[in-house]
This record gives sequence, structure tokens and C-alpha cells, in this order.
Amino acid sequence: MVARPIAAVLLAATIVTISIRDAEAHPLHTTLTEITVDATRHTLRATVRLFADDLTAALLKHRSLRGSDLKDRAAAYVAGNLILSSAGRSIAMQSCGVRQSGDLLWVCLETRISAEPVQLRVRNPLLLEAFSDEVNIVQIGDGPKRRSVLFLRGDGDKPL
Amino acid sequence: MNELLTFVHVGFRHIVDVEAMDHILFLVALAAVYRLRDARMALWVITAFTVGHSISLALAVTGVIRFPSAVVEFLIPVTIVLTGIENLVVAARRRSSRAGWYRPVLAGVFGLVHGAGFANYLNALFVARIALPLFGFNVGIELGQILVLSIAAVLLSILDRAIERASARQGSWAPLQVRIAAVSTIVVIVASHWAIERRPW
Repeated sequence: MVARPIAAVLLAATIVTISIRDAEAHPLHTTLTEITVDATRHTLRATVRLFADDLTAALLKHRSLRGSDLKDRAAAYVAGNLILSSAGRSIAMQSCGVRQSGDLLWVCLETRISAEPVQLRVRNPLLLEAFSDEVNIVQIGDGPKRRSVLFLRGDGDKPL
Repeated sequence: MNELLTFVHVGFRHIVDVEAMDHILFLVALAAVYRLRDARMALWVITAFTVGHSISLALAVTGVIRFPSAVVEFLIPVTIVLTGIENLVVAARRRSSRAGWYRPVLAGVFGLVHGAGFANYLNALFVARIALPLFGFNVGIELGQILVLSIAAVLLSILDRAIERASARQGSWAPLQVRIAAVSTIVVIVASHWAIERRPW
């Protein structure tokens, strides 16, 4: 009489256990990008914080970015994926350094500007090729003027 | 979008994402003993979980405590197993004089463990200014939990109906007890598997 419900419960437990791909913990897959415009130095800078293990997983999907130095590959990967544009023209960014603090990488990209950028837009698909739950946060401004834009899978460019 | 809303969104997604099976399973384990009429108690329990969660996050991001990730990742499924076992063992829940308060306490203590699970991530990302991201993240977590709990309540009600129909044929089953036993057994088996996989030794 009770054998059928017990079998059903065990079957359900087996299906749930098998259908969950792995038993890894559930980390936050998030990057944080801060964009600053320095009018006195005529520079536009993007500082991207991302986790080294997440980046390593994403780099595995890019043959052209295989190599030994993680910082070099981080700079190349971020420069190739974080796309800024002003008034419809893309802004070419150069690396201004990469540093590692524990598990976290800080990637700096910078460009010289002649005037305050207008109609600034950004596209940020960082790490989305590796993690479906990736959330990329882009922030610009300071204090109460700070604005944030979120990038999820499938998002194109967005105004800042 | 302002900064607060951004982090509400991030916290919400963190809970409702299908990848968040450990959090979802824990919520299902907590919800398994309640019926729709017990919604207020269920809300207290998940709010206590959020409070515990927030405390460990705040302790970690302010540098008061640093949690060893491997141990925390192991303890998360252990809390799920213990919740499932508690569901199975406390059969006379409604007659217990302590039924009104100890589950929120249990959820709060287990929330401390779950919060520690991603405290290190938040701490690393928001080194300079953590208060607003932390607050927004926790609000998002609470909203996500309410959504998951609502979906769980609907699914558990459907399960109750199925059990009632079956029990009408069998004659002797107590539907709520059968539901608690079935859901909790599944939860215990799945979370035990995770705990073994994540053991730090």
C-alpha cells in the first residue's frame, strides 16, 4: 500500500538530483564597471572589477586570448568587449593597467577626450558567454548623481 | 536606474535565478510545512531568514568576520538537510507550544550561513561604499524570496489536491503529513548529495 508513494518520492528525488547539473555553490556572477570623465585631464576612464575565476572561465571560450599572463589577457578581453560610444561613434579605449587584489581583478581602460562626451552609450556583455546569470553593472557619476545600468544576457547597447 | 534599484534588481535575480537551486530548495523546505492559511507565519520565517542573511553579510562586508568559503559552501546544504529533517521529525507541529517562534529562529540562524555564502563576493566588489548596495541587495533578496515562496505555495496546493484525491481512494492518509513527508524527503536526499559533493575534507 505504501510502496508506491515511497517509490514516487525516491524517483522524484533522483530526477531532481540528476537534473541539477552540479552541486557547486551559487556564486554571484557580477562585474562592476565605473566610468569617470575627468574634464581637467581630458580623459574618460572605465574601471572594471571582475573575479579572476569567472574571467578564466570566459577566456576558455576565446582561442585568441589564450596565453600565460592573466592580466594581459584580462585587459585584451575587457577592451574587446566593453564598448563605449559617443554621439554614435565608438570610443577606442587603451589599457591603463590591471591589478589583482585577492580574487578580484581591476582592469583600467582610458581614452583622451577633447570635450565632454555626449549621448554616451555602452554595451557590456562581459562574461555572458560563460554564465547565463551574469549581471554586469555599469555606473557613472558620483553621489546622488550616480546612475547605473544593468546588462543581462541578450542586452545590446544602452544610454548612460 | 538609480543605484538602490540596481542592487534590488541584482538581489532579486540572485534568488529567483534557476542557478540558485540551493536557496530555492531551502525556501521550499521552509515552506513545506505551511498551508495557504499559514501565509503570515511563512512570511515571518522567510523574513527571519533575510535578517540572519543580512547580519552575516553586514559582518563580512564590514570586515568584522571573514568566512572560509569552502566551509560555508558545505554548511549551506547542511542547513537544508537539517530543515528537511526538522520537517519530518516534528510531526505534531501544530500542537507544539513552541511552534510559533522556534522556526523563525531556526531560519534566522540558517540565514546567517546562507548570507556568508556570497558575503565575500559583495565584499570584494564594493570595497569603498557598501551600505547602499548591501541594503538594496537584501531588499531584492526578500522580494525574490516572497516570489519563490508564492510559487511554492501554489505548487504545494496542487500537490495537496492530488494527495487528497489519492487519500480518498486509500482512506487513511493525512494529506498535509504526506505532503510534508514527500517534499522533505526529496529535499533531504538532494541536499545530502550537495553536502557530500561540497565537503571540505
